[in-house]
Amino acid sequence: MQPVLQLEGAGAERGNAFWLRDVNLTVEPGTLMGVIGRNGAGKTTLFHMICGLSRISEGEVRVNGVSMKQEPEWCKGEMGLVFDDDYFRLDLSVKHAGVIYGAYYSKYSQGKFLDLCKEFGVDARQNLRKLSRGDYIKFQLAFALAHCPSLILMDEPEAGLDSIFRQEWMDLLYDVMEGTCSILFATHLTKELEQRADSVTMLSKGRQIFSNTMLELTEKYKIVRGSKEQMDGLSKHLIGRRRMEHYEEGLFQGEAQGLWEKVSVSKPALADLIEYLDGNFE
Amino acid sequence: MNGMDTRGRGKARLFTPRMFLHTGREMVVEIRGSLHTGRGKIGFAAFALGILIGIHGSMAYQSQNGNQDHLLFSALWCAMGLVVLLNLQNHKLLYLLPATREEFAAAQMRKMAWTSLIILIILTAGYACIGHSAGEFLRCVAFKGIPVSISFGGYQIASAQPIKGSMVNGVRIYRLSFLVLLLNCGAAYFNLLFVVDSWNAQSLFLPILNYGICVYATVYLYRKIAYADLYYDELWHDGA
Repeated sequence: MQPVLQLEGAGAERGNAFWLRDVNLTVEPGTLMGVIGRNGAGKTTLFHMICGLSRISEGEVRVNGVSMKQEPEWCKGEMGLVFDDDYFRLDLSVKHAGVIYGAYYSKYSQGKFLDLCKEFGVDARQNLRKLSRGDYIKFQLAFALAHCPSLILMDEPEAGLDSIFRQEWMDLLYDVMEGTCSILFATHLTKELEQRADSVTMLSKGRQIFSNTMLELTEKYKIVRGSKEQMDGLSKHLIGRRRMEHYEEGLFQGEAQGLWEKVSVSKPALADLIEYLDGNFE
Repeated sequence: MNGMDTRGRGKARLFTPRMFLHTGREMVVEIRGSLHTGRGKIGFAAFALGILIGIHGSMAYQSQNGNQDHLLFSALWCAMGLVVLLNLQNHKLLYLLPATREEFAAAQMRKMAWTSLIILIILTAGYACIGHSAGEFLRCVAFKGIPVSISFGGYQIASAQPIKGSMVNGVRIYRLSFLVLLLNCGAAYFNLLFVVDSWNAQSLFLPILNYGICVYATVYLYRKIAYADLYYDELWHDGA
C-alpha cells in the first residue's frame, strides 16, 4: 500500500542556514505518527516544509506518492491542517469561513463541515475571533475533515489548553483514526502518544534522531538501572546516564540478550528518550 | 475560486463568467463577514462617504463652475472602502490552500474587475447627476469613468501579498510596486481633473495615457503575484 507521506532526505533552509536536514520518515495509511522534540527542535519547520510554507531545499516530500515539489497544489488538497496559530481570517463566522475556504478543495462538503461542527459543539454562527481556544481547534479539525484529506497535520494544537480538553482531544483523534486518514501530530503530550501513536519521529536541533514504530522503539532502546559498577560494565552501550540516590540509570541501545540478569531493565517512556537523546546526537 | 483538481487534467479556465459570478458571491460573503469587525465598518463608512461625495458633488456641480474634483475623491474613497472590506485573506492561508499562484492572482483579478465595476457605476451615476448632454455623458464615461475605475480597482490586487520582488520575473526593485501604484493614481487624477469638451487629439491625450498606465499597472501587478517564486517563510527572510 502506498504511504500517505514519505520524506526522503528532506531539508529546509531559511536564508543561508539549514533549519532542518536529512529527514526520513514514512506515514502509513490510517496510522498516527507523533513528532517529538524539545522547543526549537524543528517540529514546526518540518510541518511548514510538508504543507508548503517553507521551500524544500533538499530531498523529496511525497504525499500519496506524488511529489510535493512537482504537484504542490494537489498535495495540499490531500492535507488537513490543525495548527496552534491563527491561519484563518478571524473576521469570518465559522459557516462563512467554510464557504470561502472550502471552495478551494475539490472534495469539500459544507454539509459535512456543519455536521462536524455540531458534533464537536462549535457554534457555526459564531465569529472565529469569538471562539474559545478549544473550539477554534475543533473548528480547524472539522474543516480539515470536511474535505476528506488523506493526511492531517497537527502542530501542537493542544498547547495552552487544560488537561480535560487534552483528553477530549485525544479521544476525538481516536475517533478520526477510525476513518482512513493518517495523522502527523507534533506534541509535547508524550504520555498520550505512548497510548495512541503507531510510530514516533524525534527531532533535535534540526536533525532527525529516529523515526520508528513504537514496537521498534521498545526493541531499540531500554532504560537500565543498576549500581555504578554494573553501569560501568555497560557504558559502551549507554547513550546517556544519570546518577540517582541509590542507583544509576541510563538509556541502553544495543543487543539486550542476557541484560536482565545483570541490571533492572524497563521500557523507556518518550519523555526519557527526549531527555537522553537530545543533545547527544553526533 | 472554485476548487479545481488540476493534476493530470490540464489547467482549469480562470476567466469565465461562471468564475466571475462565483467571485461575486465570495465577495458578498466576505463583506458580510467584514461588517462584523471595526475595520470592516470603517471600510464601509469610507465606501458610503465616497458615494455621498460623488452624488452630492454632482448635484451641486452647476454652482461649482464645472469643477470635477469631487468625482476623484468619490472614486478614491469608494476604492479604499472596498479594498478594506474585501481584504479578508490571511496571507499565511494563501500559501496553505491548494491553489496555484496563477489561480490566486486570477481570483484577485476577478475581484479587481468587480471593484472597478462598482466604482464605474458610482462614477457613471455621478456624471448622470451632473446633467451633461448625451454625447458629453458618453465621452465622460468612456474617457474618464472606465480608465479611472480600472486604475483604482488595481488597488485590490496590490493589497495581496507578495507585492514585492520575485526571482522568477526578475524584478528586484522593491519600491517599484509603490511607484506603479502612484503613477496609476496620478494618471487617474489628472484624467479626472481636466474636462473633456471635444473629440480632438489634445483632449484624448490624458484618457489614452490613463488607459495605457492602468492596463500596464494591472498586468504588472498580476504578473508579480502570479509568478512570484516565494514561500511564506521567505517573506520575512528575503531582506525586503
